[in-house]
Amino acid sequence: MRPSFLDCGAVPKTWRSEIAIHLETFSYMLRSATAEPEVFQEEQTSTAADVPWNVVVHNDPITKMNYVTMVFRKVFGYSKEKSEVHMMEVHQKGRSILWSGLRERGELYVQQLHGYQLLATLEKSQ
Amino acid sequence: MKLRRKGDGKSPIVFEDIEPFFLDQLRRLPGFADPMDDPAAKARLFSAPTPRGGDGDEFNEDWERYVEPEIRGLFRSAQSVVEEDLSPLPEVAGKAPIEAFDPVAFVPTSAKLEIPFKNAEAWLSVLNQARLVIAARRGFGEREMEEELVFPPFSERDLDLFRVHFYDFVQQVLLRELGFE
Repeated sequence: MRPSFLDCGAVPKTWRSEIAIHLETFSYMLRSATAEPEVFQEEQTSTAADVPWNVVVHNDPITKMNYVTMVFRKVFGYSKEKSEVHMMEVHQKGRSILWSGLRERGELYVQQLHGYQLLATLEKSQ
Repeated sequence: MKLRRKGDGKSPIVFEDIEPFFLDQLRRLPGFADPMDDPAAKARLFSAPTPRGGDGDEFNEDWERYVEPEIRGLFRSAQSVVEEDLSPLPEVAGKAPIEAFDPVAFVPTSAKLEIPFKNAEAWLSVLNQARLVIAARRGFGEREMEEELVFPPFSERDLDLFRVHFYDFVQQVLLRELGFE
């Protein structure tokens, strides 16, 4: 084992213990600086009310396309172009998400859509 | 049957020279819009607001109890508006429409239907209700909607399919008048 520089005669004996403490502290600081940082995960505290809900319109072979487009324009205030994109999605894919957000507002939209006889559901976002 | 329009966004939409056959279909419109006790028609007009099963069931039950009556009221009110607009039209006398396919049924008459502009939305709703109710009762789907129409219809089924298309025609006219082509 190699002798420490504290053991050489250059350092007065009364200083040795104090220097040893400083060295120990310095060495701890070095170890801490190079170690992997500890990550504290923020606890998730969201509630069911925060989960977005989707207003979904489903395909129906009887209701005509331009009637559906008109309903989207009136209920959501969407432009003709945006309403047509959703209408085509309903027609081709069987369903389209028209709106996402808080449940209470979604319920109102579904009620309005049912008032126009569209097949609409309120679904919790995945 | 001819359409007379000003297209100014406020004048009444007028159908005139209506043949007895088409007059009969118009007069029957509010009746067809009512699903009555037909389970398929009721299920279509009053569909569930969330997928059935799981935690959506409670919401569906509340909906049936509190929201559905409001929707029924909305439909009934639109039907009353349409009935009122149809009331000046003459009754179609005599035979059931299926037996009335003699040439007389297609001779224009002086009958005229005037739909006030403010009532056009109620008409759109009732026309759609009637199309959905007839289709649900008959089980019409995508395939039937693409079928070639038989005209004059020779069965009650063909007549119903014709009605679904005829009411669509009137709906298209109104959508155009409202600027929703």
